[in-house]
Amino acid sequence: MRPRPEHLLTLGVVFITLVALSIALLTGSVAIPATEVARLLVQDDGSITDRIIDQLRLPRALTAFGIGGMLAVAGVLMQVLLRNPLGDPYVLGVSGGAAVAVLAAMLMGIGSLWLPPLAFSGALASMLMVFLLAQRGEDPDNRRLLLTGIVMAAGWSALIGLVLSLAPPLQLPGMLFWLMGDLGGAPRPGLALGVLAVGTAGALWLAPQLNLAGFGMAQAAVLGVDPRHLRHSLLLLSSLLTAAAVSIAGAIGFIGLVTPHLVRLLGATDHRWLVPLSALLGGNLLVLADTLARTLIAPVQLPVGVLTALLGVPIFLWLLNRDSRS
Amino acid sequence: MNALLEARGLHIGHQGRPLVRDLHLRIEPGQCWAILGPNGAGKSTLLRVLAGLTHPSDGEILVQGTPLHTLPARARAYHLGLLLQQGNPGLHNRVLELVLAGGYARKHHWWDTPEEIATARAALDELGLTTLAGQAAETLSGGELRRAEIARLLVQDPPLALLDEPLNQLDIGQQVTVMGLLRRRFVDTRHALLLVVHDPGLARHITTHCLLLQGDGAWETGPTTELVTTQHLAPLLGHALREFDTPGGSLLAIDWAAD
Repeated sequence: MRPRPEHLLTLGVVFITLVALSIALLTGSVAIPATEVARLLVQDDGSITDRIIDQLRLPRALTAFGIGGMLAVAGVLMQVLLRNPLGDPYVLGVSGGAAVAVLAAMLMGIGSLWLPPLAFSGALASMLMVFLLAQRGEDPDNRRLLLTGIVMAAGWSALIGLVLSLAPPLQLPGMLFWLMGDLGGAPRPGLALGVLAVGTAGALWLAPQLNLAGFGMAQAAVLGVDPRHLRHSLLLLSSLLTAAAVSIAGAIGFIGLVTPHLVRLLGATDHRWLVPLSALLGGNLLVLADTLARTLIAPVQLPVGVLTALLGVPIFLWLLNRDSRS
Repeated sequence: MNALLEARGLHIGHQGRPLVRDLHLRIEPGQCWAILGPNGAGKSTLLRVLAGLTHPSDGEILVQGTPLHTLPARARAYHLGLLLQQGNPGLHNRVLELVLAGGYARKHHWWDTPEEIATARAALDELGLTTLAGQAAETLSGGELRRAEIARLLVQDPPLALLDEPLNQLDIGQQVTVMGLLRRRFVDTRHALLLVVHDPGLARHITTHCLLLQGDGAWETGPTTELVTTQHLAPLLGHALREFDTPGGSLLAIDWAAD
């Protein structure tokens, strides 16, 4: 039997994962040889280099991996829910709700320990509002949901502008970093990887239904999918993933939009493959982007969201052109 | 014995205009029904209501004796299939994946079993699409997509299939082949078909029963032999029909020569 393209793709993506994590561990202001890094991963000697690996580079790389994966899976779910290739984790205003909550808290001088839970609550509150507003009437292809979300997102960005214009100048850089997405804060590798694992499992469970939803909700319903149930599950799962990602690292753009398209382009269109491969590739993309962000003009660290956008725009344009040619 | 599908006192309206008033319909195993009527008479809307996609304004639909709205989605797909008027290749699917989707309601496993794949391939064979199995569904022509969706319906294999203009976009040869296939797979097996068609000649030749929709709420049901006649249909369709006797039976055709 001929190997499925998805099998080769999986091997490739696993290989990229190893490469990306190695690069992240080997790169930084202090040069540490690869053999030393490998030794310190399994063995603690309490040295400075040991702490650089165990307490800085590794947790940060794993956090980046978890968040990139979450955003990519949320992107897959949103693209199915909205039947729109432009679907990304933030399209319905989830990040806007989180941003307003966080910036308002920063403005009021609330301690940084409270910011992640506030971001999470803001994201969920925004999603709930969109959901309740779009609930009425028939909405077979979720157009109403999309429009409601886009308008809410616009409303949130107006509020963000308001908070920024009221903020004292000293607080502005911190706020801007948060808005653009930044992994420089306290890394949470356990949380990020845990949420990624649970979210990916949930999306895999839904994968056969996601395949059917591609034919339109009416056709999926006729084939045995409960459209209401699927819609609720997709909204809940994608907003939990996005809210968790945003609460740890702010709104990092483009990973959720570009990754699913890249994986499809590489040959995996069945969601049973698309979901796990997107999780892995999205994780890798963010690990690499974050490594670049902290080394490109070191010792200055860039917010990683700036890099994902700078890389994401040309990638997306390239995908678009490639599509129209074929 | 319970009918495959029964409509009791069905009211369907569209934007305040009644399309179907107090419809009673009973589809039994082995029957083949046609819905005939002018554009906008509510044929497609009725099909969507009967498939449970849209709620009627009033009335009840029973599927083998059970109210349709009480059935969970999977059970509905087990009893009823629907070919929508507009084809949809989906988001980046291969043709084989499109056809495999027909087996969702009966699926017990998360993955596709070799039996499921064999069934889907056999359905593609029956519709002459064997060589297109690995192709992207988006690249199919209109007629090929139509046939792929009919293949999906064969995989779903419901006791009652509702088809909205199934022969749309098919060439003459494919129309005859597909109609023969649908009859063999649904009517001869004591399943049933309900087709929206525009060609009275086709309705006359292959259906056992007809539902005529006037578009103002009025309707008529009965055996095809009584309803599909030149005198009866011409006012509904707005044009003269002619009947010809041939060795194989009588043919009904649109009289293009009449003014």
